[in-house]
Amino acid sequence: MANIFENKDRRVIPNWRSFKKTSILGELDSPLHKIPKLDISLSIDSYIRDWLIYKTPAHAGDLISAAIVNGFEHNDNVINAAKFLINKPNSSTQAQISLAKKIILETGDKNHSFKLDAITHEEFHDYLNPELIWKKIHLLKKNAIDFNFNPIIWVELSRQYSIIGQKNKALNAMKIALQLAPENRFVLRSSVRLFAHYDELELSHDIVRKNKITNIDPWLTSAEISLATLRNRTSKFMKLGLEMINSKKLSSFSITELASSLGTVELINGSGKKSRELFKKSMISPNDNSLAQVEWASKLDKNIEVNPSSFNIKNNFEAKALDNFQNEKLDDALNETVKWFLDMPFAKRPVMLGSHIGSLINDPEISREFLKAGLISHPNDPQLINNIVYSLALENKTNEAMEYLEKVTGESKMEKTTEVCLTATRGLVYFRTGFHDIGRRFYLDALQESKTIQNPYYNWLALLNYAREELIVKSEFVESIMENVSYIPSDTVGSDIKKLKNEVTEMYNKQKESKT
Amino acid sequence: MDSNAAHGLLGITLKSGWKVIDKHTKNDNSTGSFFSVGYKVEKEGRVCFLKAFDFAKFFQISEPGRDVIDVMGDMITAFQYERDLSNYCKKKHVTKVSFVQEAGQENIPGYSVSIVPYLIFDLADGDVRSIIDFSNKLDFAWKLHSLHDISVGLKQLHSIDVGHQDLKPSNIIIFKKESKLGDLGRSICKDIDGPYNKLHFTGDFTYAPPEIMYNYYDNDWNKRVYATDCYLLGSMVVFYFLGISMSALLLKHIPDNFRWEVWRGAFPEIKPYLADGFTKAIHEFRDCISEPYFKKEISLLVEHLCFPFPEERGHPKTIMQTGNNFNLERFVSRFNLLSNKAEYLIKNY
Repeated sequence: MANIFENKDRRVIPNWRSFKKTSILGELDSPLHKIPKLDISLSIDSYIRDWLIYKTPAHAGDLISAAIVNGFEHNDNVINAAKFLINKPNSSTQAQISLAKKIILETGDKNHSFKLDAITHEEFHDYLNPELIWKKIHLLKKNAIDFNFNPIIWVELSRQYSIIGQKNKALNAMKIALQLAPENRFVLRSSVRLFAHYDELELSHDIVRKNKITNIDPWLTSAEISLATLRNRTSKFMKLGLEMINSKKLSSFSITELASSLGTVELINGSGKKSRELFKKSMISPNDNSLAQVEWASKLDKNIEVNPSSFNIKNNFEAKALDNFQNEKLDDALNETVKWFLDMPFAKRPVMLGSHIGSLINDPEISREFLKAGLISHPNDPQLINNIVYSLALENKTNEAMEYLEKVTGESKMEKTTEVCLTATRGLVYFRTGFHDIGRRFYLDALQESKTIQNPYYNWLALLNYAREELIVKSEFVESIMENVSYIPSDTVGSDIKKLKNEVTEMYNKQKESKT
Repeated sequence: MDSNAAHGLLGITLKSGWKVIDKHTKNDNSTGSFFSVGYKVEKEGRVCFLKAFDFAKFFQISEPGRDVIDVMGDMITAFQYERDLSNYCKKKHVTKVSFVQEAGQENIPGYSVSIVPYLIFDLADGDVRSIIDFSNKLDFAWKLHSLHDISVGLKQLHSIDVGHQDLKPSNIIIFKKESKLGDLGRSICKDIDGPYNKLHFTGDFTYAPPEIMYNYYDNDWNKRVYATDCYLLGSMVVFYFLGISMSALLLKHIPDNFRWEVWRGAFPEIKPYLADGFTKAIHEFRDCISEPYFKKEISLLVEHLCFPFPEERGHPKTIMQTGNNFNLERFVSRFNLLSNKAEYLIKNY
């Protein structure tokens, strides 16, 4: 049986994107205006004068350089010089042409649009090529050696390693970045996310808890509070965080995650009013992370209302995916989940949601596509493998299912619920390969395991899957199993259980009808 | 009444005996200065370049309401300073600078500001922008030779406690096979009390190093001034091979949020982002050098000369040693070696 997507506890752990994307999103802007602007009057008149007299590539290059540095890209003479360079490729340099094109481009539409915005699930497969990641890694490694002073390269390298599941290499690269820039927000937030991703919560927490920058940077204060909550601790930055929010010295955008983190703490502590106030502040100028958090919180507190589509936020995929999923707009949810995954290729939650939606819309191919994509960053992950095997076995692709099943070894670490699922899935595979007795034994073990962990949901799921298999082989145990199935309450369970129970009951009724 | 007497010198024979024979036009000397007008002058068969100070221009850009006397005072100080600094360098045996050969002033009647102070220089072929050819691969040796001259010039200035501070293409003057530094007008000297001595940066902001743009500077004169010249020399290398300035190349690779006029955080906070932009800039520079032998060598020179953090700028071996981090000796040697190598390769082409 399949592990399902559970929208369980969510905390405001920083999202981790490429440096370029993160900077465009504004998450690296300085929260405080500490340094006065340079008080100089700028002019490029002498450059324009010389360009108009001489009209050579060198004078044009000199002029466009001056324009770029001094912010005069829109000047007509500058645009003419840029066009001149582009139109003289034999006497201009590549760098001049490239800079000239940047000027021409920027005088047009300067709105940054990301490629992800237009991607749908039909194109999902085209983006799942680990070769491309290896190429990036090759280039980044070379640059990391040549420019070993650059912490950003090490963060990017770490990210690429994490995308292909190279845990140790990802951690090592990040540690180098931390050595090079121990007080940089991008490095710190990326490292927090990475270490949390690999369940190194203590290390992740220490990085921000012990850093003096956390006292002044709301983007890090927020991360510290969220990590403390994840570790069931009370953050020592709570009071400071509230002061930052109320200080009015910081922009609404720079405190959005902080307000969201504090709102989450209040929500968990049962202070609905405080929580709602904080979430309200976090929504004045939200980012995708704070919006997804409010979307999550709205499921726990019905007084919190949020419509993710009403905000014009870049990379707002998680909140939109979950909102569409909750509202049963599954096609839209699937498209947003594809974007969410491509935005965060190392994350498992979009993988689980995508595969879950795939199974709900009866599209096992897309479901497996997500799961296999997830295996790139989580190689041999038992939960993902279980779901692939389950999906394959249901289609009687037992050989392929067996190949995947062999990847789960006794050393694989997994949650108890995944253990239950895997045992049941083994039962399914044996049933479908004709070894009914062995399959039966696995299903009975799964039922027992689910009782041991006192999880009725997984018990019912195992029972329904088992019942289906006995019905297919028309065994002698059908009657007793169906009696147990009838005890599953139809009104208190999730939609997947309801759906499966209906299918099994229908099968049973048909068999009974055909007998009579 | 036309107020620009500096524009009315053509055809006049100055009190000093120089006859003004031509006005600054295409292919003449460039002055690199917005406050001056260039002429060709002749005396006893010798043709030179005359830089006439444009008082009217000075008034135009001066703060509104400022006293005329003050503005004229500033102008005269600027004129005297450039003349005196030039003479100072000449006496100290500097060779790679285009010196003031003669200085004077002319009264041109009929203008509201009739006094035109002027400086006379040797006539050059032009500034580097008029000479350089980006399409000619054989120019490689010439470029390296010229860069060697410039680095020698800077080193000579540093050895007498002068920082040029305004090194840019229009201030590199070409005389046949020799390149010289022009326009000492914005230079600063420890031993001469000049009008700009209290400024953190006296040159053209278009070519200024990143720390200056982000309002970060070292109070130590040596560190601040020589680190700036170091960057400016590196920026010239970039211009010679790419045809754009280092600052433009750097800004191209820095997200808009981190541009100097946008960023309001402290300089140390932006360092990792500058380092990343710089990495990409050097990468692009390297990709643009077609000659394999020089690719790595010249890129390294630019990397050391233009490093975005002043405390890490300079040759690594020099930084490791005690003394001035920005000593250009090693760069001079490197340019010399590369220039010789390039010439050898051309001869055996």
